[in-house]
Amino acid sequence: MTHCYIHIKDATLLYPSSPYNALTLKEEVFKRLSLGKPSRLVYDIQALKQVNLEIKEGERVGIIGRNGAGKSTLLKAIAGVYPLQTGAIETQGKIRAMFDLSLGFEFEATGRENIMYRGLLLGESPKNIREKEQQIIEFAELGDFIDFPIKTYSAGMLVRLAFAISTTVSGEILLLDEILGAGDAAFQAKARKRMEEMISQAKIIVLVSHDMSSIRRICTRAIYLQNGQVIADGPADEVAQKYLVSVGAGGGN
Amino acid sequence: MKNYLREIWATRYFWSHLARAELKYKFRRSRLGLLWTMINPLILMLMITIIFGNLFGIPMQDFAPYVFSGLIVWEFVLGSALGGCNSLLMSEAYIKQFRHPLVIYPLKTTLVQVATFLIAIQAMFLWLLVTDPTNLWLGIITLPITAFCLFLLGWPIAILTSSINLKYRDFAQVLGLVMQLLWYISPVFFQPEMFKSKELVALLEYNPITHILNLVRAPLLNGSFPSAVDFGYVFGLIAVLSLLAIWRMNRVEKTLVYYF
Repeated sequence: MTHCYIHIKDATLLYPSSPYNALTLKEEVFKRLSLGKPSRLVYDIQALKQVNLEIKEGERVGIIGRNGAGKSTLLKAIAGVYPLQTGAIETQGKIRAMFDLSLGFEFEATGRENIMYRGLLLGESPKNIREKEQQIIEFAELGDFIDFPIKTYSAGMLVRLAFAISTTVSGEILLLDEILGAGDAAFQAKARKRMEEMISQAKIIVLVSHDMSSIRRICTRAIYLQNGQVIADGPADEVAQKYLVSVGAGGGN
Repeated sequence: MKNYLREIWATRYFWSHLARAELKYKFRRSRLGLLWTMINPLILMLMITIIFGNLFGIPMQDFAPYVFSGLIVWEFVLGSALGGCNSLLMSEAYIKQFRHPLVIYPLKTTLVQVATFLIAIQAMFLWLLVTDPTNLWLGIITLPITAFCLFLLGWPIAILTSSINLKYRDFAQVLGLVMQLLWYISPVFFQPEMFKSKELVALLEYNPITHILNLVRAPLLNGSFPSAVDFGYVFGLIAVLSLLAIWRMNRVEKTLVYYF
């Protein structure tokens, strides 16, 4: 049995400016011919700078920092969605990323079809999904609505369905962007329980959150990012405290 | 490369389902459903046959299958090129969440196009069954080869147009004009005999669209296998387009995610 790990070595990630500098073929051609006004160029944004991290099996890592510090970018780089400019990220273990749950729904399709859709997207086989289907429908409390096109769903129903599908397929490395809550009070309690089950089963958790109390509750280790660099790395309590002090939210609790 | 192909295979449930779902939703909200795929070229064919048949004085029973075969093949080419433009753009939600090979989205578009072609050609078979069924069996025998060739053509086309369109959002408009031009110099409904000047005939000869059309026309209209020259052109084009698509994806696959 191999151990799961995430090794991040000298990771540098730039958001290239080229997508914003030449948007149309017409502009590109005019630029090549040096016609037209030279438009003001925007510059590459350095989202991660020389990040080095070793995350071992059993660790629950919280990533904290202010908006735009590179937290979500780091998570997406670990998931392999955003490629690095230099450095490398090596992972061992089945990655399960939960970023934006309601993204990628097919609104013309029924709830039942969307379960299949999302399940396949998550890498499951059709047979596996059919086995889990009933369980998902029950958890989402959709009843007969499951055979209606999901464009008829209320926002709450949609979130419940998204949550039920996404949390049914588990993984060894769990990447979370904010702790997920969904629906009304009763459903939230159920969702929290499901979430905690997932967290206890996963071998590695990386959680991005602005909520220091959930970081302290869930994580064993925290990483404080600022301007794409790691400025603190240590036990969750200590780093969370440091973060609160530095943003002026005071110590206390 | 080998790894990449393995990744495409590993996601087969996903893309094959995407293709099936797209076909299904395309027709869900219309009463006639899949029949539209057959009726559409049928009506277009009737219009063109009546107008141009009269204009050029060609008898209906010769011209109708010629136009019909032209239209369904052209629809495929157009669908891969122009329809392909949106295949990456529309898959943003998937691409930004999962690291699947990007070429599976153009692949989905191509599969939908091939399926549409296979449905539409049924109407052609039906037409021939009623009017003149002599060549029907050859058409049915060669259909798998034809469909496979079209698939191998459509996929790299869709990869190229979708990746370019993601970078330059006005590419689809430009491509629309190019395709319009291609339509006028291809024998989609013009017959080679209508081209008077020697230059135009030569243009027709070297136009790969002519030879793609022959894949369907040779068996169904002439009762013969497509010639070696036709296959030569088609496989040559497949090779060139595939190499271009591989080269292009090698260069841009990693950065395309930033262009959404």
